[in-house]
Amino acid sequence: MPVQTEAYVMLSMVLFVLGALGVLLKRNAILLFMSVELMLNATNLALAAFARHWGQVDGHLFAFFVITVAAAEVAVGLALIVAIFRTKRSINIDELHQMEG
Amino acid sequence: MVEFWPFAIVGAIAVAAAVLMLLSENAVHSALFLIVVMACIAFLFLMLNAPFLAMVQLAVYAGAIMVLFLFVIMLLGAERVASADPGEGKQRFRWFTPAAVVVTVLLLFSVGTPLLLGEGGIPTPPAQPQVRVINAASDVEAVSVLADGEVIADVPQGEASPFVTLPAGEHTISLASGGEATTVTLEPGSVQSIVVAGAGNQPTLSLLAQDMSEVPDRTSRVVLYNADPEANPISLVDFGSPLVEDDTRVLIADLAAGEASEPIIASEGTTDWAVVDAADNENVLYDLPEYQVERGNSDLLILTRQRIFDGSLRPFVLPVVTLANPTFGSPRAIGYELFTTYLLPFQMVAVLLLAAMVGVIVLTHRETDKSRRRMGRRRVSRPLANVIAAQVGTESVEPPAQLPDAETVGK
Repeated sequence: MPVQTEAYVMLSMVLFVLGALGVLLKRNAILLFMSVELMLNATNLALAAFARHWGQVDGHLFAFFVITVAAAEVAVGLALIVAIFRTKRSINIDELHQMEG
Repeated sequence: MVEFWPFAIVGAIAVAAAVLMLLSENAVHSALFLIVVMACIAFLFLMLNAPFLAMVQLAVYAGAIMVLFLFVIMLLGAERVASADPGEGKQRFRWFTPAAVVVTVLLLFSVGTPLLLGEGGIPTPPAQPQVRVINAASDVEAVSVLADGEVIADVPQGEASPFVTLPAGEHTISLASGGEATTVTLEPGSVQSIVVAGAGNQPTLSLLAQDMSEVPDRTSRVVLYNADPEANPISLVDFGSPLVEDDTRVLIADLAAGEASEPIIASEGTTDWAVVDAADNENVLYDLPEYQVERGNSDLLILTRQRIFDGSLRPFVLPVVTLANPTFGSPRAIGYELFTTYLLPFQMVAVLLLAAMVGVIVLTHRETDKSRRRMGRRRVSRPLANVIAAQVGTESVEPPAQLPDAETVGK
C-alpha cells in the first residue's frame, strides 16, 4: 500500500518551514540562497505528491518548471553575490543595507 | 505498509540533513547537507511514480546547481562569513530570531493541524470514465449519440469521436434519430467505446471496454471486434511474407458475432493481415493488405458491413487507431504534455533561461572589461621605439649623429 499523500505533504511542510527559518535567520547571502532552494524543493515534493493523488501528470510539469526557474534564479543570484563581494568584500547581508552606488 | 518504512527513514534523513544545514558553521558543510536533502527528495520522487522528475532532480539540482554553489563558496572564500563578528545589526534586531521561529511554527501548525486531524484527509477525486463513439454503421451517414438526453458526440460514418468524460454510474445511451435506448453502467476510471453498427436506418449500439494502458516498446495492441450480428465466427490471420509459402498464422481465432477478442500485442511494421471465416481460412472476408502497425497505439479493428455501389452489403473492417496512454510519470507522458498543453510555458522558461544567461554575463563581466582597457592604454603609451626593439630583439634605433670627439679631430 502506497504511503498517503498527507504524509508527503507534511514532510514537505516541515522542510519548507526549515527553509523559511533559514531565509529569516541566516546572515550569509549564500546560505540564504541555499535555504530558498530548500523551500523550492519542498514545494516540488508537494507537487509530485498531489500529482500522484490526482493521477495527472501536470504536477510533475510544474515541478519541472520550478527546477528550471530555480536554476536561472541561482545563476543570477550567485552572479549578484560575486559582484557585491567584489565591491564590498563581504556577503553578510546586514552590511548591505545602505543603498549606495 | 511496505512502503512506509523507506518513506519514514528517507524523510527523517532529509529533515535531519536540513536541520544540520541550518546549524553548521561552515558554508561548505551546509552545501553538502543540502545535497543530501536533494538526494532524499529524488528518492521520494521515485516512490511517487515520478522517475523522470527524480533524474532531473539529481542531475540539475544535486549536480549542476549545487556545484555552482560550492564553486562560488570556494571562489569567494566565504566558508566562515556567517560566524564572523555579530555586528550592530544583530544587536538591533535581537527580537527577530524568536519572532521568526514563532511565525514559522505557526505556519507549520496552520497547515499541519487540518492535515493530521481533519477527517478523511485530502479528498480523493473520482476517476472519471471516458467514452467515445465509433460510427461503423452501414447506411447512416452521421450519428448523434445522446447520454441521458444530451449529445456527447456527432460522428460521421467510418470515424471515431475523441474521448469524452462522463460521471461514473448508470447512463442511458440512445441515438438522436430515435430507436432503442441502452442503459449502461460506467465503472470509475474505465475507458469504453460505443460502437454504432448495423444496416438500415436504425443501427444498434454496443458498448466495448477498451484497454488504453501503455504497450511494450515498438508494439501496438490490437483488438478485433465482430460487430456484424449476422456474421459467422471470424478469425484474424497474418499471411506472412509473400515470398515464403505456408507461413500463415492465426492471430485471433474463432470470434463469434458481437464479441471482442482479447488484446494481442503486434510488433510494429507492415503486415499482410486479413479477416477470414473461422471455419475456412481460405475464405477471406476482408483483406487488410499492408496494414501499418505503428508503435505505442491501441488499434481496434471492427468488422462491420459496408454498402457498395450495387446496393449489396459486404464485410468491411474499420480500423480505429488511437494513441495508448503513456504510463503515469514516464518521460513519454511528460514529453507529451510538455509539447502539447504546456508548449507556451516551456518556451517562456527557455527565454527566461536565455535572459538569465545574458544577465549573468553582464553582471560578472563589467570589471574585467575595465581593467583590460587600462592595460591597453598603458601598452600604447610606451615609446614606439621600445616596442619595435622588444619585438626585433635588438636596438632598432640608430644613435643620433654626434659631433666628433676632440681627440679624433686632432689626428
